[in-house]
Amino acid sequence: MGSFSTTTSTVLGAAFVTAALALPSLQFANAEAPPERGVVSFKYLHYQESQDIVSQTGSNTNIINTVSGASSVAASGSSGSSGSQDRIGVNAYSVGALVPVAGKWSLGTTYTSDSVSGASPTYHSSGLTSMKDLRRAVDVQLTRYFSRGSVSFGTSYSKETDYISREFSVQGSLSTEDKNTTLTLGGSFNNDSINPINSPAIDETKKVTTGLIGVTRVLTPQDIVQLNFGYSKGTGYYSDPYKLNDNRPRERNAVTALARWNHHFDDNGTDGTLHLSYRYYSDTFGIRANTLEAEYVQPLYKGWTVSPLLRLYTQSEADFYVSVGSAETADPTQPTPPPANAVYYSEDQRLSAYGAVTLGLKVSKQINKDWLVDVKYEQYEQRAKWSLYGSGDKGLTPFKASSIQVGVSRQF
Amino acid sequence: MGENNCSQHSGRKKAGRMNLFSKEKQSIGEKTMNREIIKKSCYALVLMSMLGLSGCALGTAVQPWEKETLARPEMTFEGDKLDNAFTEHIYSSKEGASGGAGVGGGGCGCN
Repeated sequence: MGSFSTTTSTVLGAAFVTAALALPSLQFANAEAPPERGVVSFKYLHYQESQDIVSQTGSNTNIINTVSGASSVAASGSSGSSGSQDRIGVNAYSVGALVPVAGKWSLGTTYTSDSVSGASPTYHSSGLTSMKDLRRAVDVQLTRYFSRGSVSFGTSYSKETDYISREFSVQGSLSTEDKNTTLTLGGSFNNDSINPINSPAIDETKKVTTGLIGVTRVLTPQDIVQLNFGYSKGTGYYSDPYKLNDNRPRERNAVTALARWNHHFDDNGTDGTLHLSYRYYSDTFGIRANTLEAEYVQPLYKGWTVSPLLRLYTQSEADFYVSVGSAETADPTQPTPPPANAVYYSEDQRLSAYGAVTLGLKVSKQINKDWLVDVKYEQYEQRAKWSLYGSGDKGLTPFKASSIQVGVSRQF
Repeated sequence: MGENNCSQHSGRKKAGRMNLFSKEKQSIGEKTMNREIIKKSCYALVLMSMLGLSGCALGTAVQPWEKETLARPEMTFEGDKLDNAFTEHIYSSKEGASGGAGVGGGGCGCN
């Protein structure tokens, strides 16, 4: 542990030394400009997930316990031995504002209200427990623009019945004189409090520190690329108190590498823009993940724009993930016990190996120079057999979700 | 990893007593993983610094009067902030991986 911390700080130190070394070789000027106009935005989200029911005779996977969760409600759900069943549903709205201040500053803030209800599995995809909770979150970001870059300070606060999250962040960016290369450095600190309603004795915390370094580069008048490298170090309570057989390590460190490329099609007359991104993720739980995303933004007549998107995701399972056992395969109401000698174990399917596909479409309309409205629909599906890391957990059935967002924004 | 792994939770305490060798094994596994992460971190850092230092050499310098297209909202990486916040929130609560695009935004109990 001690040697790891030392090595980590060496690595982080190297990052800053590298950044510092890079600085003198670059001449910075006007990295970013403050927004010329203020904007107020509103967005509504409806999200609904479902999971296929394991076809069984003589058993019922729809047994719903109203034991835990933020507050118990009578859960609804179709019963039967085939088809799919609704899980968590979310209705959320968000209001955001960005205001230029005194020519050199901007102040941004967002308020989000997130109403979650439905049924959540206690182990793998069975043992459904109804839950209902309301999450409220607010964040504020203050940015100072300099002739040679910008610095942002941010804070956010999020509260649920059983979970409070507080965060502070700082991010700075510097550009070369020709504004074709921008270096970004950022850091944040998260301090969360966890008080599960089903286990009042658990009075826990989770602290996560994140660092990020990135380079953005203009390649041509139609191409811009970005490479971000992130590291996060977390300690505290990572287990899920609402699941059976869930005991996770108290430390989780992760690295991310994100490459993004925006290309504009000028020459062939489509006037469209392609967004491509790839992210690699790796953490000390043993999860490796690859995310590939493509979105194409096509402007049409009279301010209309359509943007189809495709997202492909795959992850490996956590080292301590416990697959669906034979007894549970035979009868999904029977939880699989963790291996006898296991210290860490979890049956959370989010820690299993799987692949996922998202298809989406966003349509927006610029009504006039002030008003913009948009609608976005996304369909998401996770399947164990789509994992590029092994065969996945064959005991898990496909998990699906769909979401719709409706937004409006007004510039001032 | 930390000695306090077995504190706080009775289930953890019990499991910790059941087999110390398993804990040892986990610890070694995590150390290997940490080394791997550090190795990858170093590669990424070298790549980043090379990109940063050779920034001016990457591609032909685009002149200010050629940046009309780059100034369009769809050519920036920020995108629709409220859309991104909702989308990232959903993915981070349903998938093992998260983050990468920036810092800030806050956490929740959903994962």
